[in-house]
Formats: sequence, structure tokens, C-alpha cells
Amino acid sequence: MRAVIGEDHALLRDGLERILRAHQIEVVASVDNAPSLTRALREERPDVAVVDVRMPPTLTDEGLRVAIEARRERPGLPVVVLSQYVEQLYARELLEDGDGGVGYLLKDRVSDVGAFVSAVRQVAGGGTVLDPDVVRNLLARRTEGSPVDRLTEREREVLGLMAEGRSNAAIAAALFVTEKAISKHTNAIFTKLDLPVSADDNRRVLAVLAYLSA
Amino acid sequence: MNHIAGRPLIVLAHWVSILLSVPTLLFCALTVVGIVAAPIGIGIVLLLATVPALQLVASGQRALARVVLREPVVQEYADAKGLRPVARVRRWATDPTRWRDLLWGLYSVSIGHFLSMLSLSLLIYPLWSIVWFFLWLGMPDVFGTPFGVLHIHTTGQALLFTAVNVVVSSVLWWYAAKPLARWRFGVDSYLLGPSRQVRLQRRVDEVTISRARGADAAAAELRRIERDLHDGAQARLVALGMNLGLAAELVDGDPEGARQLLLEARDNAGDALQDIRSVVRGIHPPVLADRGVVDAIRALAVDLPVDFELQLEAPPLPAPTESAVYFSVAECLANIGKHSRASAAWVTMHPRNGLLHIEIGDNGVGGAAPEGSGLRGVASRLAVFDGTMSVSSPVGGPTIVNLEVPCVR
Repeated sequence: MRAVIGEDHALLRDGLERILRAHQIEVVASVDNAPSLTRALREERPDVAVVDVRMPPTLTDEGLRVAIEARRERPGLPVVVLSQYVEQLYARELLEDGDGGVGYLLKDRVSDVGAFVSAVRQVAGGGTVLDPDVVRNLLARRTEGSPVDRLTEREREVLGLMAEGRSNAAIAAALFVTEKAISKHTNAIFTKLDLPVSADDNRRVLAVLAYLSA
Repeated sequence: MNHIAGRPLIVLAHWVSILLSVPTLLFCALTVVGIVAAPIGIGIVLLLATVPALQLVASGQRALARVVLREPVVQEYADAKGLRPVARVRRWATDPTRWRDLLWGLYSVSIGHFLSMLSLSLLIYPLWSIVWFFLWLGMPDVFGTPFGVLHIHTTGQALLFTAVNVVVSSVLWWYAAKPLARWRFGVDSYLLGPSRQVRLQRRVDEVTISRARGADAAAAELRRIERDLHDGAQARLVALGMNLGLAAELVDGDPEGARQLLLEARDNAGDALQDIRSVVRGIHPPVLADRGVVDAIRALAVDLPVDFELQLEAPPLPAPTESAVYFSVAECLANIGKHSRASAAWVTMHPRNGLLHIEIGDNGVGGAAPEGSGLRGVASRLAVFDGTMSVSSPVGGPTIVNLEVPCVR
């Protein structure tokens, strides 16, 4: 697998390279500013890009905008966006095109190296991975009387994990139940929320997210 | 009470005022005639000549009041340039300043004139008394009854009378000269200066501008703090997490690699702490919090590679003012460290007349620009507290920055 890294802090850039290489992901380009990132994505056509939101020249949301722009040129280009802060708005902008292959994580998550690397692989495979914080916010924002209130406690837990981009197997492992039980829950959730049931993990996640951020 | 000019200048100013009151009377009278006759057209023509003329004598009196009172007396007229004659007169009619000029004219030729005359009379009377003495010697019949009630019969009486006159009048003049000048020119300055409303308006403008600049400065400061934390401590802590995570993975397979990563992580933690310290210091230096502005400035000077002479004394200041003073001085000292190439520098700070005066100087290469972002920041920092900054920095040095901040408790 070939990755491009966009991160302006030398320390973190080195850390990311080290982690990816340690897990047999080839880092083909590692850049510290937005224009170079745009160029690297065009020229290298990586399997996945790991990008910091904030980058020179403006040090605002440059990385995010480059990522969105690159996905416009190449729909579904897998991008994992890293940020020091959780911004719902950024998550939503990333997910807007509905092509999947998107990750939005707090930088702290990188310290859980295993989980981070599997998130990168998942995104590279077209999956969607959102930081638990983003999901928690999405769930918390539901108003009184919304269909989410009709879910049971357990169903809501499953919905949260689903929104983080986890597969049924992973959810089952996390909640210490069988995969069968989980698919029962997911079906119930989709029915209650009036969402089209889909076998494809990613479609499913996107549907949930679209619903939550509506 | 500010210091009024010396007596010789006062005497001169009274003389010139009395001379000025002749054209003043003329232009005032003609202006009044013009106002009355304005409806029949001829008045407009008259006013076109007399109003600027009145402005001219008023400006002369302004200069005199400035010299005597040693304070600015400036006035702005409504702009009537380029207007047609009738429109110009209409503009003048709606300009309160013009009416104040006219009012001043009436005062100047009456009460003001009297006050000037009184002052000069007290000064001249001793001379006149001496002249009178010789007149009396020559013609005692004619000059024997000064004031019409006294009768001077002998030379001794005449001498005594003259002496008393000289002494009393001189003493009176000596003590009355300054108060009289203060009344006379004070009223001039009041009528010829901006009205209270205009002064308040100006003050409001100043405050509005300084408040906006202060708010900008505060916002910029917050952005800087956010960025410092984001780029410094936060990034280092993230790196720390990465290293620990990798180390945890390596601990079984590659203990030596894991050890390296753990040591690196330890350094990350130390660096993050340093970053947080420096951010905190940028927000509110511990020395300032613990020991006040004098010691805080001392602490700054200690860090600089320049010989410093410090004479610092400060009254107790409100915390925000103290903080502004500290950061202003810090900026100036940082400039000395960065740009001046100086071998010696000094900071003096002392309160006087409700103002805290601060001077920061160095013997370096000069050429500091008050428009530069650093010094501009100092100016806006101080403006919030009605403070001012002036910079003198010729090429070749020395550079001297003067700061003044009100410190009324």
C-alpha cells in the first residue's frame, strides 16, 4: 500500500512515517504544506493520504481543503484527516460527496497505533472511519422526539460504533456479543430510522451519518 | 494648575491683545451689521469680508493664549472652501465655531480689554507716579490734588505719596499679573478653543479608536496563544503519544527500539512542558504576578546580552495597566536584543503628576520604525489605557522610546 503524508510538524511527520512503515505501508511522499500536498496527490496517486487539517501557507484548514479538492478530481481518493480538534463542520464537508474512503480522526488516536493503522487500511479500502468524539457529538445533538430516541440503549451503542466505521464483526467484539446479535440490532436500527438496509458496510455507515448530520 | 508664561511675556501679550482689539472691534461691529443686513443682500457681501477677517484676529489671539497659557488652543472651522458666496455664508451661519468667534470678539473688546488694561495700568502706574512727582515739583497748583481728595502741600508729602504709589502698585501688579492673565487668556482660550461638545466628541472618537485597536490587539494575542499551544505543546504531546504507542508495540519484539522510543517520549514530555511554560509566561509572567512590574522588568533585563542601567519606581497599578506596561517594555527590550546591536541600554520608570513615565533607550544603531508591527502593538496596547508612545531613533542611534501611562489611583 502506498501513502502520502501531509503534516507540517516535523515531529509528527516523522512519527507518522515511522508508524506506517512499521506496518508495511510505503510512504511515497511526505510533505509539509498544501501546494506540495496537492502536487504529491496528483503525481503519486497514493492508495491513501494522511493529512493534517492545519497546514501552511495559511495555517487554517488548508489540509482539509486540499483533501476535498483532490477528491473532486479523483472521487473516492481515500483520505484520513487528522486534527487537534473535533470540528463537526469539517467532518461533514469531508463526508458530503458520499463516496466513502474518508477518515476524520483526532491526532491523539494515533497513539493507539494498532487502531490507527487499521483505520488507515479501512479508509484505503473505501471505508469510512470517524472519531468517536465526532460520533458522540452527532448522537448528542439529536433533539427531543427524534427517531433516535426510539432506539434502545443497546441499539444506540451499536449505532455509535457503526458510525465510527466499524464492521459488524468489530462491533460484536467490542460489545462481547455474537455477530448475529449485532446484525439483528442493525436491522432494527435501520427499520426504526427508515434507512435502506444494505449489506455493504460503507454504504451503511454513510447512510447513518447522512441521517445523523441531517 | 499648569505653569503660565513668565511676566515679561504676559506683558507683551497684553500689549498685543490691546492692539488687536482695535481691528476686533471693527470686524465685530461690521459682522453684526452684516448679519442684520443679510436679508437685503448687501449684508452677504459685507460678511464675505468680515467673517474671514474676524477669523484672522481670532487666530492671532489664539496664538497669544497658546503662548501665555502654554497649552494648545486650536479650533477647527466648518469647511466652506469652494462654495458659492451665499452657500458659504450659510455654512458659516450654521457653524457654531463662527458664532463663538463673534462672542469672543464681544468679550475681547469689553471685559478682556479691561483686564488687559488693568494689568498694564498696574505696571505703568509706578512710572506715572514718578512723573507726577516731577510735575508736582514744577506745578504744585495743578497737580496738588491727585484723585481730587488728597491735598499734597509739602515735598515730603509728595515724596511719600509717590513712594507709597510705587510700592503698592508694583506689589499689586507683581501678584495680580498671573491671575489676571489667567482670566483674560483663559476666557480667550475657552471661547476660541473647541466647545465642550466638540471636545467630548473628539474624546469619544479617540476612545472608540483606541478601544477598537485594543480589541484587535487582544484578539491577535489570543490567536497567538492558540497557535503557540497548537504548534507547541499539543503537537509534542501527540508525538509523545505516537512514540509511546509504537514503543508498546515494539516492547516484545525489539526491546532496544522500544527503549529508544521511550526515551524520545520522555524528551517530548519535557519539551511540551517547556512550551506550556513559555505560553504561560506570554500570558502573564510569573514574576509579574508574584512581585510586580519593577521586578518583572528587572527579570527581563537580566536575560538580555546588553549592559543595563535600571532606575525603576512604580506606584501600585491596576493589574491590566501593569500588564500593558510590562509587555510594552518587554517589546522594546526584545527590539534592543534583536535589532539594536547596542552595548548598553537603560530603562527608567517613575511616576510624576499622575503619569507613569517610562524611558527605554540604547546606544545601538538606531533606525527603529514606530510604524513597525512591534512598536505599533505597543502603542495600541497603551492607547487602551490612555497611554502614549513616542520614538526617537535616528540612523546611527541612540534609540529612545518614551512611554507615558496615566497612573491615577
